[in-house]
Amino acid sequence: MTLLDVKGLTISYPGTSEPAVDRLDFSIEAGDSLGLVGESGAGKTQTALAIMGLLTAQARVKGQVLFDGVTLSGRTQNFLNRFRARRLAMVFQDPQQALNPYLTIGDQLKRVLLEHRVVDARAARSRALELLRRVRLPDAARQYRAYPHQLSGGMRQRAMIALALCCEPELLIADEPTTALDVTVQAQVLSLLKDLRAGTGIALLLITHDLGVVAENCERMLVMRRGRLLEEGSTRSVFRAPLHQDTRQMLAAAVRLDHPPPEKPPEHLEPILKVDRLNVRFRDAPAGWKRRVSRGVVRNLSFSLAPCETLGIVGESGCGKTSLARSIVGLIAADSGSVSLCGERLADRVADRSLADRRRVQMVFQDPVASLSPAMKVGSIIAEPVALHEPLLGREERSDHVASAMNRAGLDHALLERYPHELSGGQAQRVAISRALVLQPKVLICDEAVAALDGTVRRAILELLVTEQRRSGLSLIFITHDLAVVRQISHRVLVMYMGEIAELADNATLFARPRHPYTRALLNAVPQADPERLPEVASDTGPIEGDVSGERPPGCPFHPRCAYAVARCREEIPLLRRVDGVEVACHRAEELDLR
Amino acid sequence: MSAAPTAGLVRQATAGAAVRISGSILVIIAVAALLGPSLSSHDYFSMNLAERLESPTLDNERFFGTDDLGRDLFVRTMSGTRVTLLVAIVASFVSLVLGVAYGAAAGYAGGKVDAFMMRIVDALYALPFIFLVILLMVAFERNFLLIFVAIGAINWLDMARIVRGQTLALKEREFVAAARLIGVPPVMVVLRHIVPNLLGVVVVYVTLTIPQAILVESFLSFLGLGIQEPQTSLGALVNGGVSQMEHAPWALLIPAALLALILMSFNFLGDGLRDALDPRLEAR
Amino acid sequence: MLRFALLRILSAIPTLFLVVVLAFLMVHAAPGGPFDDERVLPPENARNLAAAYHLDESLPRQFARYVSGLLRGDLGPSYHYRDHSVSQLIGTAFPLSLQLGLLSMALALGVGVSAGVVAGLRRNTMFDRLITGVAMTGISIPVFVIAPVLVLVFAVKLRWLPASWSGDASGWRFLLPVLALSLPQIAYITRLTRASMIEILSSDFIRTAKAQGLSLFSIVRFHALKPAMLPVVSYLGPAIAAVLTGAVVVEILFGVPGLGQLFVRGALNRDYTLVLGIVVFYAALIILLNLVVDLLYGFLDPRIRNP
Repeated sequence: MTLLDVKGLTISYPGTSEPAVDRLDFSIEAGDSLGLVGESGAGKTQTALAIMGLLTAQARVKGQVLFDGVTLSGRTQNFLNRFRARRLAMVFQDPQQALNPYLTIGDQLKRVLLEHRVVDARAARSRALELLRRVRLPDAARQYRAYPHQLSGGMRQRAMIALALCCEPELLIADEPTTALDVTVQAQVLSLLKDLRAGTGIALLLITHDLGVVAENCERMLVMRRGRLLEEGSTRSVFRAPLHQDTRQMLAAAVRLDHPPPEKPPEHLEPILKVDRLNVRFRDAPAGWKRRVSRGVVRNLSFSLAPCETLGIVGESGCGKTSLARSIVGLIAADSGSVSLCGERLADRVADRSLADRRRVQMVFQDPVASLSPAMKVGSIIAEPVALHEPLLGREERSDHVASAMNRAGLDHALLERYPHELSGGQAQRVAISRALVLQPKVLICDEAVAALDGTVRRAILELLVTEQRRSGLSLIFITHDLAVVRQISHRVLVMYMGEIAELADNATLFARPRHPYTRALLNAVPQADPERLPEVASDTGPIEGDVSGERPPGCPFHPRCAYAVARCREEIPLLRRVDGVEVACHRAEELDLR
Repeated sequence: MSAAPTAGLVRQATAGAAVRISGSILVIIAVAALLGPSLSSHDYFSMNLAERLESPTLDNERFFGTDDLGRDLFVRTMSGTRVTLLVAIVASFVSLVLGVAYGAAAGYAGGKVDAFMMRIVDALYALPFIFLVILLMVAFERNFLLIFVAIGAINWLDMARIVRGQTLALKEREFVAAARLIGVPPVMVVLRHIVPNLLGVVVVYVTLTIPQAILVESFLSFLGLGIQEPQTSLGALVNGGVSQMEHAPWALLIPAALLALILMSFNFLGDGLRDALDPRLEAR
Repeated sequence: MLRFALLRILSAIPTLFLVVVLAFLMVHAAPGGPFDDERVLPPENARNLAAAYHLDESLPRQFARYVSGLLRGDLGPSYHYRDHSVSQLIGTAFPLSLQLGLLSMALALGVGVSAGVVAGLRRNTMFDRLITGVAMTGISIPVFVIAPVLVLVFAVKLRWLPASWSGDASGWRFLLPVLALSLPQIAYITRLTRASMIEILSSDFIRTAKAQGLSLFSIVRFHALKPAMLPVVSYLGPAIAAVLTGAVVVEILFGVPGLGQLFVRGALNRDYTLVLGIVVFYAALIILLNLVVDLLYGFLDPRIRNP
């Protein structure tokens, strides 16, 4: 039975020449799982909103949307309310924004249940609790009374799913449901969706930019680009034999953990950067009502970086990688421990460092446009460091420096006069990189520098960094949650968990034979863009449960979630030690075979 | 939040109808106030009891009629408008400079310094300023300059709070971190990176505080503490008009209408600017 | 939440102290003494008078004396109304100002919030434009213009309401002053509520509520109304301050013997203790009310209530 039928859907807005969605045709049968893929701007969210009738008043919609034979497009809100939540429901991308922060989860659930008369007022609470249990929220009664801000990201998303399931709809539209989540939490949520589908036969329209997610969760898929339908078919056939050139490009740029690792850099005796027993505590700025919270976000961390080397630092939210980056550059002061550059210790705070020291370590941030001063033109942004560090240079020489930095970053000189908000994400990141490189630093730290960029742009930026490294001997610290990126460019990989190093190994070794159970869990959780791949045999434990929040557990910080934990793991903190050429902090490193 | 003070942004800001219309009205009024009096052969202070309480007419250039002392209302109104606008703009400028400097310093410094500075602001906020202004005006015998200072002193607190809030938010943005990393000294960070991005909000607020300044000045005139005769302001004219309401309604209506028009235009202008800059403010 | 409340209460105390210091300094910095207006006194009498009022002591001592008086609730004697203490004078005049203020706030909130919600819901329709236009006018016309016009229309021409305070002992005499005082606030609260409503209605969680098939009524009643009210609650602090000061004008225009009138007369009479007393009293009132409003806001926002 055809549940959803979209015919010739075209969405356009006044003031833009190209339609957001252009003559889209597809259908969904009962029990189907359809993945809708595309890069940003492809029109995926617009399509979902059009189906649900949630577009803004400015949208001009043509074409038809039919649900179970009934036309939904062009209908009044009152009419659509008979279908929404009851027969088709939607889960949104950012649960932090999508849930009402002023109501408890329980209240929000009850409202939907009562509005659609699923149960009467007396039974509403128990039905709500049942739904919360169904989405595998621990301690349902507590979540019922909680406000959204008291829940972690993964829990919030599950709450959203519970809300969507209130009336047992036949179709669930999920718009990038896991994009904002950690990869292990993503695995949990996707597995939940899979089980729900198996249990209730609900159809799923899963919107994502991640081909790996589609490959592992959807039987059929649609590829969109700039509002148009590129391909349609079973997931396997699209991956095996894409018809369109653009699809092929996307697939090529997709997540693959079997990407060949980069060549080893030339050997150096002396490390260029040394981090020694660094400790950073996070202190909440008490805004009047919160108690001053202090917890260790980086604990006793030590590692070194060689010239011309790329170290990838991976970890999920709360592992402390951003705090680590910021304390290396001096934006936050470490509580103890030291950071040394070329043998000399760097001052804890950036304000105390000499100009010479400052230029040697630079950073590129996650949000490209936000890292550029909005009121300054590109030319001034790149010139500012030069003006500061070499004040004696004349205007000509300064522009030469700027020009050469722009060339290295692959920037068109026409962009010199533009303002940051006029640049695309990729262009902005190139500007940020040129600004960082214009001083010819020895170490460049990239804090999630490509996380906000689309696949093809991401690739280009990564290549740029690698080229620059080869050219000038730059050392890179690449911080990310994305294992595929790490695979592509790192020589060595450092896995962080709750402020400590779990494992530090060579790229090839880490992926081929991880030594720490957390690394193994991370690798398992990454959805790979290969529909043919059989589910990992090693994941007999399924995706790991729980997430990183709250107090540090005693002993090994990972033990509550570890499939291999024994009594010793609860009692004794594992020290970082060398096992077969790999540094790992696990009591059972020698005996476990985690391949 | 940011608003690049670029040509492009100005273009966008002026694209809105509200901004254009209210802006034009204000410009017209300002020009009229400047040039108006020269169109008439009368002046603003000569009394002519024989011609008192005349209704507006084209004879003898009595465009707005005369008041109960026989003074020409057209010239008085125009000259009063000049004074009102002058007071408003100067006073707002004073509060702008004070507010931005104080707020940006407090916001950027953060921590205890910020807490202390804001505590002072809280204390000043609690003082019913209008009372203190009255007191000052009484004590210091209605000094013209004092009016500017007094009005500016009332409004800078709001500006300081807004600027401080914005600064706190901007301080956490990555471009500020990048600037610190490069080695930009704190004062330069504030001047070059933070203040230009505050301008949008500041401009909106200034256009909204100008009406407040005008109202305060009018109120002072109402109490007899404002502009001294024979100089006049719109507020003083309105007050004068109230007492002649029954016999010479035009003496009240014309300046009141003009006053209301100016206030409304500034409010619309502020609203329009805020709407125009807001989507940009939210751009991430 | 408790921590929040305690911190706010504690921080109000130094603020109040600072206010007293500032006001005291300002009053004593103004040139001219309280007795300058009177006939010129022979030096002997002038000295005695000064001593009786402790004006011959050093400023810090006078201040300490003043503060210790404050702690006992004694605001000092009035220089002008020799038989009365400042506290007595305030005590007589304040209840009236309070009534005026409360009634105006109630009216402003009632009308303002309703109009604002309606305008926000029916954005860009005729209804909205009308409401916004009226609100805009309300902000742009000074109270001392509105008041006499109201008096002219309703009291003189139509004779529906009493024109001045003392001529009538009925409750009706409140109507015009309250109306005049509340109009700018009605206008402001309408605009604020409307803007807040529009902003909330365009937020993501309202989109979720729509996706859940909730009717517009349900969405407004259960999801949108409370968050939309928060900025209005925030505004209550400044609003109260504005009403208290606006009352000065209204009291003078309508001849209401309230605190505002008392203050102006005190200023004109150089009655410094009275003036200082009223300023301190008002400041304390504003600080107290702001505190209450802050606590109320903290209570309403779950992020503050249950961190």
